[in-house]
Amino acid sequence: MLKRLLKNRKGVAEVIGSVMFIVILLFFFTNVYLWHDAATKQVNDLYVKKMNAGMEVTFDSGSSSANITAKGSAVVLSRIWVVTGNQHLYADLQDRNIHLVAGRVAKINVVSGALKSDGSIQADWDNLNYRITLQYPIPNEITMMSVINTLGVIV
Amino acid sequence: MKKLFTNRKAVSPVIATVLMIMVTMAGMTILFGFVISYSDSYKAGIGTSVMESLTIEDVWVNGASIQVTIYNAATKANMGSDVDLNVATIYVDGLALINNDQTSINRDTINFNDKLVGSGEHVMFICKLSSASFLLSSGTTHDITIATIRGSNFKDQFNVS
Repeated sequence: MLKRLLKNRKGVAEVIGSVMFIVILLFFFTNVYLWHDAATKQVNDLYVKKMNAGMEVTFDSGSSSANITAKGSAVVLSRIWVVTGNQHLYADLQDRNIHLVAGRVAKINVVSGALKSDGSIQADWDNLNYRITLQYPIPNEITMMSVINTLGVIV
Repeated sequence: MKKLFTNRKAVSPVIATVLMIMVTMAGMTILFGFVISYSDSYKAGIGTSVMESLTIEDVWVNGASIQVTIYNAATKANMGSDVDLNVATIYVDGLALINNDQTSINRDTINFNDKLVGSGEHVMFICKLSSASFLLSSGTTHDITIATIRGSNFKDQFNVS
């Protein structure tokens, strides 16, 4: 019976064709599924980093200065937003490469100075004293300050 | 040798087999190409929506103009690959904003859709309300939603100072 079955070659091509078709379909779906899985993992990693990258900003409008502390892991600062009575302005920090070590307090000082030609605020980083200096025409005008890091966490 | 070439018996099955293999290979090549291009366009398009990461960093209501600044955090340093995005529409309390054609202080107006927000970039959109009857009075809190072309929605709230 088995010998006869093995000898009979009718329909073998159809079986091989069907198997090949299923293998191709599996290849396609596995490819897309694995890619989607990897993409989701990458985003989840970013969410974990964001959750661990908390910051705290304490702003004293009277003294025109603020303190910033990285509460979790070390962060790289991206921008400081300054809000006055009638303006929202920013200081770009990405080219300054400001790495805040967790737990260490960095000082933000606002001194009187002109805005840059593009309307943004000039910022300088003193790594030795751990101090960011912002130049704004009237420092006392500032009512609020917020900081965003390169992970997209804003406080 | 000469006899081999003059003997035409069984030529037809050989040609048939060769033709069959060629047709199968052509068919498989077309199918494989379609599958690869389809999965590539899925990965580059709607599939990547899961990887988009956008932060609404500032919303400033300045009279009739609304200045929305966003940051694209989907960088290689943050998550292993750069993911750019395009903003399709910005909604405030469910109402779509429209582009403001005026220019702000030394900054060009950016139109929705035609501006790519590259990974690690901060981009400012200067918009205005589509309905004059809808006002954002000071001291109020509003919802903002940013929809991207790939279909992701990013929601936040802002206060009007």
